[in-house]
Amino acid sequence: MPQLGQGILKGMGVTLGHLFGKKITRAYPEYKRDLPERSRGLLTVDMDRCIACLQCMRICPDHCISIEQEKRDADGSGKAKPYAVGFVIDDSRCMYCSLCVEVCPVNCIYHTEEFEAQAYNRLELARQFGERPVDPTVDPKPAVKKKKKPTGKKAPKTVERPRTGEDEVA
Amino acid sequence: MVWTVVEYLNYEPWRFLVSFAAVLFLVLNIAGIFTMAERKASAYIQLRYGPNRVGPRGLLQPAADVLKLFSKENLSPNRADLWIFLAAPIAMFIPAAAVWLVMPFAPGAVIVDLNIAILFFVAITSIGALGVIMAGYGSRSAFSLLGALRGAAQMISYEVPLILSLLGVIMLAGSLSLVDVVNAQSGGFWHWYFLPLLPMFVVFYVAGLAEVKRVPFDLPEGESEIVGGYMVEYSGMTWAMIQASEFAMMGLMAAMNVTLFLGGWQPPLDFLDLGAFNWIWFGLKTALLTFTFQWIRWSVPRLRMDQLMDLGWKILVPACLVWLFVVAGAMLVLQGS
Amino acid sequence: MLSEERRIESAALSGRAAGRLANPDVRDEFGLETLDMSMGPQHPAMHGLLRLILELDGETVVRCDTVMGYLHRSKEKISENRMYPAVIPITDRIDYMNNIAMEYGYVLAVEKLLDAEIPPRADAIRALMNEFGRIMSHIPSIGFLMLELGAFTPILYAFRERERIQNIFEAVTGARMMFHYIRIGGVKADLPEGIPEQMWNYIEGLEQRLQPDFVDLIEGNEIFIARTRGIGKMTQEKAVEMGLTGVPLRCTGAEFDVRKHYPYGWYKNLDFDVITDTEGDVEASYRVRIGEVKQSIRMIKQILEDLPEGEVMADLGRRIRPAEGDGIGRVESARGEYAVHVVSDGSDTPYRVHYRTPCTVNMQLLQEIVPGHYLPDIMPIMGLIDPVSGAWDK
Ligand code: SF4
Ligand code: SF4
Repeated sequence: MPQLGQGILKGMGVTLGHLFGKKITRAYPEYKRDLPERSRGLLTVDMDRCIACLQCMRICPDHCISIEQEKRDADGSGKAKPYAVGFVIDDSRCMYCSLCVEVCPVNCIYHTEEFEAQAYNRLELARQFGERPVDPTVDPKPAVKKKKKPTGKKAPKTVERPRTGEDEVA
Repeated sequence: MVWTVVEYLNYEPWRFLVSFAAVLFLVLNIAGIFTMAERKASAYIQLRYGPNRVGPRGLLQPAADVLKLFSKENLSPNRADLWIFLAAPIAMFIPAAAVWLVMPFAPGAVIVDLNIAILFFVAITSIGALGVIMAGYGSRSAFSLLGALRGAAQMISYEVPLILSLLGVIMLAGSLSLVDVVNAQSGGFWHWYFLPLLPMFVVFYVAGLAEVKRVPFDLPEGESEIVGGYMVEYSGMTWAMIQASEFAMMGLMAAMNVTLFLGGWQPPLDFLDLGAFNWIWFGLKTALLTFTFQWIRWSVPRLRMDQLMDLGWKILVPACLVWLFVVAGAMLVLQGS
Repeated sequence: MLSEERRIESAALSGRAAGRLANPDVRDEFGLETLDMSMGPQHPAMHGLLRLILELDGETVVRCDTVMGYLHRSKEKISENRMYPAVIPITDRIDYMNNIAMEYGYVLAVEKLLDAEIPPRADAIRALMNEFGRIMSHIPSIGFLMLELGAFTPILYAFRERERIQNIFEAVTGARMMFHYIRIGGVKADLPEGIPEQMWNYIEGLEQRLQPDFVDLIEGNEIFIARTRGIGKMTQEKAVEMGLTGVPLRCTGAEFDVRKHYPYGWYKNLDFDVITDTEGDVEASYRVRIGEVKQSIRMIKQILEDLPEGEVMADLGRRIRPAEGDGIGRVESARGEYAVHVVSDGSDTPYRVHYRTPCTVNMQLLQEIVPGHYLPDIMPIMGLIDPVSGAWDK
């Protein structure tokens, strides 16, 4: 016992100080913090603007957007254009990575400030936006080019092992 | 009229029934209040608010807890030794309740003025160790068993410094009765025994902490390594019983500390004497001491088994013995002259 | 015929242990048996899902086998089927205490493949966020160490700091935990208005709070010293031989830090020290962590003082499709050296991605140094390694 309890007493002083200090927790459901502008909450789609380009469906790492497409003359221009009749975002799979938001060419899919999603059934978390519901349980299979792996394709040649951090060896 | 009823109640068997109900009421409430106090103190230390939903400022939380625990199913492990498993919480609870029978709350307010009250206290608290062993052995789990082994080793070895530190008080008071001990400390706080017996007070405090298994001596529970130790298999009301007995035990240790070393119900200065209401002093001192228990708990980590034993046997016991001789010598010199 | 589970288990056991399993009635010369205990995978102190098969002689650990893989989420295989940018959110989930470094390593590897030129402001912001990420991981690590020693309070003080950094991160990246901020070619977006000042204020406040809440409360505490001094002690040779990196290596005195010795990004321009300690025990690891937090504060101040102006994203085109070849990104994450090896076959998705997480390697230490310690000493040793379940299982 080199210090005879000094350290413990010092620590107890710290905790005693905090006993009367300002509390930092907040009563959550009553008190809600303002979310910053960039915060990423649940997604929503503005279906009037969606041009059914399927970019969001392709990029989504979790395959949680499913779009059912149909050629339709929606804006009365006389030309039949792709139109999203069904659009589902499965919140039970979404990881709020924002990739779909970034790729959308017309900025019609975006994050809201809503973040409290809960349901008794996973399927209830799939939110439908189109006129026709889409089955969220079917993997949309984004049209990424299929690689023929691992069916014997040789690994790409790695020319030389590039060394990171070049030459400053300790 | 009222006084005749009161006097009538002073005869058996009414006296027994009333005091039994009073002690039960007291112990259960102490458990509830201390749980609440613990949660609030820990929350404030940790910059939180703690329970604040049930009732004004969350004060009814213990009641809600009890209701919840009552409605919970009482699970027991498949291969548990059911008799021992279910008897263990009772074996822990009874000693925590029984010692209150000899505690002087205020002048004249003691249920039984045993002439061997201190011996009674020592004997009864030792039963608590039995409860721990029963719980650990009965639940048939490696974690419980380890917890029970630790609990047994710890509680039995800390009984030695605990008893040795009591000897100082017994020597000074010249009696084993708690009422006599409190009466001997009358007349201002400089007459309280914690001053002449400071090392013993510290030893009793530390050993008491170990006896009630609180941080830094909560090895039998050790939630980070043996996940709750002997009580890991309990649920529902049996678990509540163990918890209640732990908190009641903590209150008991604080009250014992107050009675033996801090003057019991004696007011710190003579003019503050409240007569029959001196139990307020007793309550205040006990609450303060309990708060220090909680404060320590939320400030320090836990010791290891071997370090715990080192502290008990290599520091507390010798310190006690040395001071015992000092006290004895001083008494000889002062009384001889 | 052993059942599948039993077979895996006995594969996990080794030597004497496997013999014991076949013949459980082995007793020593006094006729005493050792106690087998399975700690985890559901255990409050196992930093996630780890199972330790322990053989106890009283409270002394005779054997300790680690069984990993309870949180295996197949990150490497998933990464092979995602487009290059879409792998970044997946790397976030590897080490969920220090996500930003996980993104950084992968992005560095892909950028090496692409030979991309990164704007200096993006580089500086990356380093800034990475250092915040380190503070965000180191301070709770200290809290976890104390939690495992039985003190509950420091972890809540630690999470106060973490939450405050998370508030800053939420304003910058939009998320509180899975940031997805560092992108191939730069960062997602510039720092918003007012955030550099907020960061500066926070750092100044942290400097003041660090002393009472994490040094005064912990460092001198006799019980803390008794529980950690000399526990989990290892020599420098041993640490190097086992391939440890990060704090477990540096607390033995070996000076190795990827940021210093293989500098990447903005770290070339920063002035900082590599914190080492000579003891190589749990207490030393605590000191190293505190020292590194202080160094991170120093670095953040340097970056904030002269933050270069300009773009935050290099123009790499909409589709990222590197030529055939491979690239390695090495970063110093809060737990040690984290490296990502990306092999490209010229398509949209990587051919192979390998994550070398420090936790997987550092975890091997348990088997080596735990036997001979007491059962409660396992917890501080876990605190020394400070592994994260997501990172060792990937
Ligand atoms: S946020 Fe990410 S996971 Fe969610 S729908 Fe968009 S791309 Fe998919
Ligand atoms: S990327 Fe935008 S426009 Fe295209 S389908 Fe998705 S939501 Fe519609």
